[in-house]
Amino acid sequence: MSALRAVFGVALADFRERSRSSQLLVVPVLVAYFAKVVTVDSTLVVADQYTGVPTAAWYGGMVMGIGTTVLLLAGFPLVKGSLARDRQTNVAPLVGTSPIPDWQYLIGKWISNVAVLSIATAVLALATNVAFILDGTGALNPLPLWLPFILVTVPAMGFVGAATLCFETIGFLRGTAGTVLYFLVVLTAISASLVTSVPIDLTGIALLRDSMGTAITTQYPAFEGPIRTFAYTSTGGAVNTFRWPGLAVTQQTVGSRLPIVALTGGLLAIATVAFDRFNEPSSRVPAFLRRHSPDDMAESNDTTAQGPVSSAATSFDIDSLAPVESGEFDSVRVVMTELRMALRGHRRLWYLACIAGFVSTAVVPLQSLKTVVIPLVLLLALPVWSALGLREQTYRTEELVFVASNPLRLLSVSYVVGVVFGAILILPALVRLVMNGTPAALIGPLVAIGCLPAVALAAGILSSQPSVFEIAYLTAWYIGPMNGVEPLDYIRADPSTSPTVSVAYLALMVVALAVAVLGRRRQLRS
Amino acid sequence: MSITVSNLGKRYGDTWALRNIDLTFESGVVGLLGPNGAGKSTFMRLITTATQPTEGTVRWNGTDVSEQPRQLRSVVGYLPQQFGVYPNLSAKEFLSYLASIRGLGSADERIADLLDLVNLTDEANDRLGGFSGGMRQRVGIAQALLSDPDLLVVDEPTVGLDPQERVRFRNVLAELGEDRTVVLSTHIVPDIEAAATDIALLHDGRMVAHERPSALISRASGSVWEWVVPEDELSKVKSTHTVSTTTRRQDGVQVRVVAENPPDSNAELTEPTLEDAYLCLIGEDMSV
Repeated sequence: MSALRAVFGVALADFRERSRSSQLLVVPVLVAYFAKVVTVDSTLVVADQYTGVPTAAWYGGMVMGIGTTVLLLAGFPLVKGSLARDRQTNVAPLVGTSPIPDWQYLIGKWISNVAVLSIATAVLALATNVAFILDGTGALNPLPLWLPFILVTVPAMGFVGAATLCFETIGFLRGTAGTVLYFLVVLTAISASLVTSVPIDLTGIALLRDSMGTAITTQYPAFEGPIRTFAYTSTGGAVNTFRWPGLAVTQQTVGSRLPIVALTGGLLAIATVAFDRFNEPSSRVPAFLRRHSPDDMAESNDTTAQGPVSSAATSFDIDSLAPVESGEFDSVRVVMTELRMALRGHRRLWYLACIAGFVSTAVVPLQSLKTVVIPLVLLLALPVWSALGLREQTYRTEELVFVASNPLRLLSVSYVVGVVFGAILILPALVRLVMNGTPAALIGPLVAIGCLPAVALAAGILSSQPSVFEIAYLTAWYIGPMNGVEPLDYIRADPSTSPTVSVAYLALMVVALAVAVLGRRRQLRS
Repeated sequence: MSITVSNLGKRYGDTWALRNIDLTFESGVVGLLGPNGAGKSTFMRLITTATQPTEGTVRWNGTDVSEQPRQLRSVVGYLPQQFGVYPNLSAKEFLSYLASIRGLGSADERIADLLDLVNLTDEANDRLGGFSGGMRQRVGIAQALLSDPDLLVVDEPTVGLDPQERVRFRNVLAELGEDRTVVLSTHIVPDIEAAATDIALLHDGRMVAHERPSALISRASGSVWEWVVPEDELSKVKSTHTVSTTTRRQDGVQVRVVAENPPDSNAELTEPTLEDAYLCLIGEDMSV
């Protein structure tokens, strides 16, 4: 009973702390808008030529399919940081020295993670319900509409909650490396479930594929399954409609979720083993920056009476300090120092990868430079860009640096550092493109290294954590430059990508910088 | 050189952390005293432009610092109560960084002197990530003095320092106060006693007193009593009176109590200290 109370106590406190953040209030709005885009502005076409009669079941399945995928990716940055928050707020030493067992503390945190993600899922289902009432066909039958979310999305959110917690307990997975690994794992899982039967169907796409495939075969015997494509499209076209009865609660459907539950349990078990009760070396823990507790102060106070000290040791001629002259803000010097800070403290492997990337942009054949190499090498800027706008908060230097200088000027320096680092990474490539008489080809990469740090800066200031930009950038990188989806081809890796895409990213850069400035102003007012 | 605060107030949500503060500081060391939550740190953040007031103004030599923060930022040295450092920079690099964002010219020599002042010369090139709390506090003190400030604002500056460093820094503050304005907040009353030329007493977000230390102490005159009680009666005395200090002796415990009337038939009046005056004024304010 006391164990349950402890778990509940941890979960409740963590959930309350998160739910009172204004940043979390944005999530339901975004989720509801997403549901509107999927249900009202587009439709699902499976196997290139079939779409469902818009019944409650179809709405539920259609939104669940893409909603679970999006929440698998976006949920990671949404709930990441529950242990980091305890470090930064100095709650960590209280937890570390309390009698609560590791597993109880971690399960409490996990429940809080799942609660946040379940609320996002509930908003998604509710918005789908509203869309069905407005646009759907047939009776409002809540069960087939809500069942896909309960059966598929909620267990997937359990996995997300456990994965973030597990990654936070393992030192080298706490930062950008963990986000990249998570992204690759989820991406592989999504891709695999589209083409083959997989033991762990995280997104529920395999369930939809089999269930919808059976329904189509029944109504269109000529259809030769299985379904290979799920396209959410806004462009109309000649498609056949079929009636999909929805997912049923059968031994098979429920059983297909069990591996996810087991995986979640496994991740929690790993987290429990890896969790060191915040016993990290102080240099790696931002909380080390805390000042002494009142007890330390009292101790310091008590020591005043301990014997005399020599006058030589306690006196200092303040006039002997070298004079210093006030001058203008030395932008170059500040940029160089900021750049040095941005580049320090990473893992050795990252430095090696940056050197390899830099060299590769100088030696690979020109035709693969823009299509593959530049997008890949710019991915190495992820840890530097995702930290933009966050350093003062992470290391609690806001009051030192914002009082010392104009905070908005420092913001511009941060942005310049991001741009400069991106440019350095691909400098040989930029030079080669000019030397080979294709300066127009520079536009895409230059827009990218101008726009991506601006977006990172805005995301960092608004979200107060790096993983929001990390997931967004990785997703855009995979869908855009790697798979040629034009609106996300920020670098114009595909030669057929329209120049208007670069214009759009330039506009995005301006908007992101404006958002960053407004966000910093808001921080300063609070 | 003066800082003038008029009708200053700061609200967080529905709670006023500070309200209706009117003060003028010129050169000297102003000690800020008050219990936890009195609004001392908020006051310091407001006068250093670290945060914006909800109402009222802060003027530095007549200039409203909310409208022209640069006027103040170029002359202020600030040591916040809670601050961090960049763990991957050395002490010297960190100070150099702060010098550059302050727009200070060649500051290398001054940085070396300041590191000497705070006894960190040998650790100047070590990364801050490996520094103890006290060492980081000394880096904080050094950065506050970096620009040779006209206004120095230090919030609990001696926390984490050993007694020798504490006395040394106290002396530095007193020396700086001779021709500049120093605002010092601390719970350590002897630090205020040693350095302050003025004392501002805050309680519950309001200004309770702003006087010379001697004037403040005289307000407790006739209200401080001492007598010896048996050890087993100590807890009873503590529960019924405001006990300033206790000293164990062979014949019992000597208690020092702040009270308007004699707390015991054996109690004798004694000379008040600043700590007694503080307890007396806060007690009066609470009863009001």
